[in-house]
Amino acid sequence: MNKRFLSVWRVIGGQRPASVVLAVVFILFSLWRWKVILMSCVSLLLVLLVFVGGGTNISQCLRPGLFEYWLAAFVWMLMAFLFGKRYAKILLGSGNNMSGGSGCSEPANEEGARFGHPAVLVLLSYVFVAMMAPLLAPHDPTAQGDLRTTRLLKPLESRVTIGKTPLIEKDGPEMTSAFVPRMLEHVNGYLLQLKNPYAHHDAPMPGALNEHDRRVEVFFLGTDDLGRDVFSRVIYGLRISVLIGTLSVACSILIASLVGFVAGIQGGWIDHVLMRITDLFIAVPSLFLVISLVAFFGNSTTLLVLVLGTTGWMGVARIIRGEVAILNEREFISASRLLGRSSLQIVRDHMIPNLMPAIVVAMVLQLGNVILAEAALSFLGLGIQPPTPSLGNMIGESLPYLRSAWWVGIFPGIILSALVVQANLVGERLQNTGRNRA
Amino acid sequence: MIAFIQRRIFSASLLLGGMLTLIFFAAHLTPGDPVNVFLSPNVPQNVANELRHQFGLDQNIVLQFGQWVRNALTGNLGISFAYRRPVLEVIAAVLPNTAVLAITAIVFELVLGLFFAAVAVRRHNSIVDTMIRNAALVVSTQPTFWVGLLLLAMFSFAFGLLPSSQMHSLGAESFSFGANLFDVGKHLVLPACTIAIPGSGAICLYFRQSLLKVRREEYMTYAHSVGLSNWALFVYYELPNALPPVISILGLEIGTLLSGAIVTETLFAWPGMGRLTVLALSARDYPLIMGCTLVSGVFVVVANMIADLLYGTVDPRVRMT
Repeated sequence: MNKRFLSVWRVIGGQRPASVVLAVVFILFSLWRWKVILMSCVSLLLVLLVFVGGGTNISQCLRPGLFEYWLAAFVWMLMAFLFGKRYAKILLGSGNNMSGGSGCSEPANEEGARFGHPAVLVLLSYVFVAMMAPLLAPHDPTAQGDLRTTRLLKPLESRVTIGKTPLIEKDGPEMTSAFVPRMLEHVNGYLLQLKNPYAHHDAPMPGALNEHDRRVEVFFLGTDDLGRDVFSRVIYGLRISVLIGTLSVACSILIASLVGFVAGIQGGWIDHVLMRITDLFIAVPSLFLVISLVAFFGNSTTLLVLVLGTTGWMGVARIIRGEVAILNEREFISASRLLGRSSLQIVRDHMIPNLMPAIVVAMVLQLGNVILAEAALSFLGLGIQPPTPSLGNMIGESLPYLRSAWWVGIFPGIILSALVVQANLVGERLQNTGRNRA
Repeated sequence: MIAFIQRRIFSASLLLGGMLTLIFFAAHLTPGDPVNVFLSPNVPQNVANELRHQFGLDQNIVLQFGQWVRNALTGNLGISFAYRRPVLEVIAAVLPNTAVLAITAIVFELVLGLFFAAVAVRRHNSIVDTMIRNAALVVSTQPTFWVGLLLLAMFSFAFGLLPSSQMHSLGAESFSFGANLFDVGKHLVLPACTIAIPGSGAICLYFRQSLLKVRREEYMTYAHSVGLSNWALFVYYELPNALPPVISILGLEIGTLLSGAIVTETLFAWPGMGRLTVLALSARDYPLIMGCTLVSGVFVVVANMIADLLYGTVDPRVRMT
């Protein structure tokens, strides 16, 4: 057709880039795991039936263990909803510049902007993988294999098992006791029963060990010292990182905007006191503070989020306060104040829309920092505790095997470093774009 | 100047006091008893109580804090539960190790960062510049333990060039002075590089930015037209004018490093402040925790203050009043 469709790059930067990419990803994904999708649709219907019928298990959907995941999903959806429209063009639309279609050229391309465009897609795909972890992971991340056959297998090495073939693979640790996967297992058992009427008895299935039930398991990235699949663990670890990152960034943005807006609008001694407190927090070495707090208060996910959130808000608070103080002097703010609008209304209608770019940049940059801090904590054994995989504790646990089995620690490290680099590139790109607009 | 230092010392001591109070009460009020770390559960209750009395843990917590502050002001930081030695002695034993590591790392970092930034600016907008900038951007965001892991895997395990942990080889006591120095140096390379590589990325980026800004100034054009050599331009005009942002980063970093590069020291089993802090925290060794907090707090505050003073010296426009 025209120039725009010459390369994949430009297709991504074309008219509806995000939807095209998502559609392709979804189609590929559904071709790969069509059974899983089918089964989860069935179980979803069952869940809806139970929900409508008023069963006793509804509370299982809202278990505290799952609550954090719901919250993380909610935050991402909220962000997509709030900033999607405004930033979709800035983030994804620069492909138009490449094809020379738009009139205004972007001088932002000089500083670090070159990576920004694919970086956004990569970061989004990380989030996608993290949210879909139970469906994507080919093995249970915490299930220990038979140590004689599965210990420290090399990447792409396979293992032959003979036995009952499960129709679909088991889900992750958080989900197994949850309602939906149990429903799934239920359906699974039902289908197995249809297939083999003896399955629900304790007696061994006739002919279970024949050639038909022989099955080859491939470990894409090898296994660790306990025979656990590194690939699945990396996916689940990514999930924990994104989860903790998102939640604690949300937490610190909340604190930061509270402090920043109050200090900027009130001024006077309140401003002075709040800013001195901010300075105090900045001066304390944050890793030291986080480590001591986590060592004393324990390390559940909620506490990690709170600790990381309360130690990461200072920079953003300063930025917000500075911008608010500048905005306060502008004519349109004085005008709306003269019109009799309250401070809250002014903040909502004038301050927040004007500050959004700065806040979004700070959020994305903070995401990288928090993910790093969480990984460092887990590496030291103070963060996420061992049976649950996290990128940091996988690297920490792999140290004794580094000489003989490099893949156990190197793959999580690659994913972690890529994740952090992407977050920083996206932040940088947004920053440059914002600077050019201003 | 004097007024500035006085004010800084005042706010710094407020900060230190706040931090010590926070750590003290957080340590004492959270569940977990240090006595349980040292005694087996089978030991009779009265023995445990006796030990608790020896540690001074049976008093009111506010009294304990008052006691600690009074002792600390007279230079007595108490006796470590785990080491059974004065806290000051324990800290003094590991502080030189941390200082050696921190100073080597900072030197590496400065040399690498400034060199690559200078090269990038010399070849501005060329492929070399782009490569250096992107590499610095990527490197500066890397977690230290990941850099350390890669260095370990490559130089220690794959090539077998450098030792992977500790500070001395086995039997280092019998080495001569020169051999000992060489031995420590060999052990020092990997941890120092682990700290220096991510840091040098950040320094390279900042220094490149400020060098570019300086080169756009009019006095640079003038100096150039007068006929100064490139080297003279760099040493007398670009370097002093582009240094301030680097100094303030370094100030932050030296303070943090001296209070213990926690992750790196754990990875390489380097016997320094960071590892001591983690040990103290996990053993709930209250006096040692407080000692580590105090020492690292002092380092951070002093390093920041010196950086601010230096900033004023290098850039006379920002004289502190």
